[in-house]
Parts: sequence; C-alpha cells; structure tokens
Amino acid sequence: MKKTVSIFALILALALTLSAFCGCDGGNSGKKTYTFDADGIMLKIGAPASVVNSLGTPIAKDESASCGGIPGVDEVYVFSGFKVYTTPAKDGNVINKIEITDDSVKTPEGVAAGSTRAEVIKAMGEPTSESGASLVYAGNGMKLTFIIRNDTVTSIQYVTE
Amino acid sequence: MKKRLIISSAVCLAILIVSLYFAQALLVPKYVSVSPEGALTAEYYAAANETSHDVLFIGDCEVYESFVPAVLWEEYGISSYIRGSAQQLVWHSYYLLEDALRYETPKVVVFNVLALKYGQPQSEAYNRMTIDGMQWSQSKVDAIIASKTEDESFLSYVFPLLRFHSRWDELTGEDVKYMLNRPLVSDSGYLIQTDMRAAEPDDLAIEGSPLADYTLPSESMEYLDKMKKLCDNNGIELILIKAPTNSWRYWWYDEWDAQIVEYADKNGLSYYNFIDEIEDIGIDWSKDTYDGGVHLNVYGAMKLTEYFGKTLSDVHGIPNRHGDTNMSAVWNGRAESFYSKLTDNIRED
Repeated sequence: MKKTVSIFALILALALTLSAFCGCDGGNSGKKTYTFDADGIMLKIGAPASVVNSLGTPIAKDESASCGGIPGVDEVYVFSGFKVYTTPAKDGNVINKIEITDDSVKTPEGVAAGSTRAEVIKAMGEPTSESGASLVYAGNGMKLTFIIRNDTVTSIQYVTE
Repeated sequence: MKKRLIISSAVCLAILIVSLYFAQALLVPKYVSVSPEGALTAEYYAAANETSHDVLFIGDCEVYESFVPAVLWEEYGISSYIRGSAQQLVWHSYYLLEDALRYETPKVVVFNVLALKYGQPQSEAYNRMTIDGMQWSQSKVDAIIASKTEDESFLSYVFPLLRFHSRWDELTGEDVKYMLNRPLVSDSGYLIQTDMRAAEPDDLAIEGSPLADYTLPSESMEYLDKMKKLCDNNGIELILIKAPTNSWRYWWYDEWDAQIVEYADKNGLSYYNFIDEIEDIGIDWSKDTYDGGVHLNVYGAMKLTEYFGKTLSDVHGIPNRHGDTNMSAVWNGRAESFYSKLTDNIRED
C-alpha cells in the first residue's frame, strides 16, 4: 500500500513538473511578427502609441471616442504613404492598425501598392489564407493583408488578429 | 425542535436573499452620469405603458443621437420612440423589437443599417448595456444566447451580481442614491448632446480603409430577414436608413450601400441613405456634430428629424395625432421635458 502511494505521488509530481514547463508562455505562437519600417522607425501591432511621436508631425490626425462612454479614444495619424491607428489598451493606447496607402513606401519584404499578386507571393511566400482576391498572412497576434484588385495591390494593412 | 430548525433556516435564507438583492442593487452600474447609454433599454417600458408609438426607431448610437421624438411630435404629431443602445448589433435589434411587440404594434419600424457590418458578438460591455435593461422574457433569453461573447455566462445575466461584484472599489455616491430608483436619462430614447466639435472639411477628412471583402456578413443579413418577417407578420412597415454621419471610424462603404439598395429593392422596402442628402437636410458639419462628425449633436438631430418627419408623414402616411387628447397630454409633457433639458444644457455650455 505504501509503495503504491509513493509511486502515485511520484507520478503526480512528475506530471505537475512537466505541465509547468509545457504551460502557456503568454502568447508566442511561433508565428512571425510582421513589422513596418517607417524611415528607420519600426512599427508593429501592439506597440505603445507613443512610438508615433517619433515619426514627426502627421499630415492629419483625428480621434474618435467610443460609443456608450467606454473610456478612451481611438486615433488615426496620417503620414505620407501610410496611416497609423491606435486604440485604448490597459496601459494606454497601442497600435492596432498600420495601412500603407500608396507606392511611396514598401514593406520590409519589398512589396508596395501597385505590386502584382505574383510579386507578393514571391516576396512573402504562400499566404495563410485568402479573402476574396486578397492575400492574408497570419502573424504573431496580428495579420498582414494585401488587398488586391485586378491583380494589383491597392492597400497593405497590418491589423490585430 | 424540528419546527424551530425549519423556521430559523427559512429566516436565514430570507435574510441572505434580501442581502444579496441589496448588494446587487448597489453594485450594478447605474448609468446616470456615467455611460447613460446603458439606461436606454430599461427606459422604454414605462414609456410604452404611458402611450403607444406609431414609429419605433431601432439601432445603434447613430439612431439615438440622430432623431428627436419631441420634434417629431411637435412638427408632425408623430408619436415615436427610439429603442437604441450603444453598438446595438442586429441580433440585439431583432430581440429588442420582438420584446417591444409584447407592448405595442407600431405602424413603422426604422432600422439603421450600420450595425449590419458586424457578423459576430463584439464586446461584453456593449452587450450588458443593451441587454441588462431588458425585462425578462423569451426575447431576453434569446438575446443573451445570441449575443454573449466567449467569456460571458448566461448566469451572470440572471444574477448580475456575479458580473459586477468587483465594482465595490468603484462605488460612488450615485450608486447609493440610485440603488432602487433612477431618473430618466433620455427623451423618449434620444440622448441629448449640445456640444460642438467641428468635423474636418471634406478635403482633409480621413476616409475609411479599403476592405479585403465587402460582403455584409450572412449572420447579419439573416437577422435582417428575421426582422422583416417579424414586421410583415405584425403588419408593420420596415424602413431602412443610414444616418448622415460618415467618419473614418464607422465608414459606410459604397459597396455595402449597394447591397442594402439591392436588398431593399428585392424586398419592397424603402431605404434612405442620409449621407447622400446632407445638403437637403441642411447639416453644417462645423456646428451640427459634437465629436468631429461621428455623431450629430442636438442641432443636427433636430434638422434631420424635421426632414425625415416630412417623409414619414407624406410618404409613409404616419398620422398626426395632435387631436388625440390623451396622447397629447403625454407628449406635451415629454416635449416640455426635452426643451427644458435643452435650455439647461445650453446654459451649462
């Protein structure tokens, strides 16, 4: 009986130890994090909104409170060739969308508005999924979408998953 | 001995139930000075018991910030109510309408189509603000089941104390003052806003981002079908509208509009996209919005109400009820309350 209890206790301790090592590590899914290089400033989804201050004065800026008195405001900053959107989070606003709006800027992989569908796949690899004619690449807690019309990229968007 | 045990157990249970009742009444949000939008759903029932409404507006913040029932009454003798709430999704709208039909049968239901863009539950906070105020019925049960996000439980709607017990460190004087009774925050469902924050001029306005797929979610369109069927079964005309506001945050795409136009044509419904009629309505984006063009303020809402009221009256035949003595008595009181509030709010500005 004592031997049985000891074996059981050992197995239980082993199981608990293994589960500690195999537990959730907080979100690193092993997927790539797609980032955008804005003239040497790296922007990524989930980054604090304060990084936008490093980009200089935007061409335009707007903010919009949520309905229902939910605290916080969503913001949009318009720069030449791209827009940055932020949304309230626990410790202040974070970037929740980056949109490339014309061919004056490119993704780090070299894709720009005006690239063809084939050029996107050549630069990025096969997409995770497709939405209509558009190509979606799932990243770590985010996705990168190339919106395609008539075989041409018209918009590139980094968004929260 | 046994009898004493039973009695004392019953007394203890009663004390527990009463204590939990008062704890819940204290801890649930009161939605008076903070997020008054949360009070809108509950305010409907007293109004429906007071008088009937020929027009029922259903929808999100674009509805309860765009139409003023007091003005519809004053100008056209139209009795109306706005059954709106913050980020009211189309399944919320369907069940709120179904709920309203337990009390009255309007001639017309006016539904704002922006919410059709959402095909999935979005936010626990908005669910609670829309649903908690519903009186218990099968409609409320179905609304909870259709709306709840992954983290929400049905039981927390039955016993809101389960959800709001952690508010104990956020309590204010209002939570005590309004534990058992709250003042009305709306005017027949309209939430007054007198501030002015101009929208950007057209050449600087930020547009919505392009979408990968513009197809309106099938889940939403199914609920629109259900709403139409519910109206048909009750002899109610369903009118579709899009409020005149169109900001980058809640952009109304031409591709969505085309789908609604097609739906309206196919189903014999009237659809009014007020974005296209801003000039005729007389909206001045430098003065008629309180948040840079996301919503109308009271000045913009009064203009839109006067404009749409004429359509409701002349095109849709909504009767002028000024000759109804009982209804007039109710509405004169409601209109007086609205204009008094308007004056007070302007004075504070």
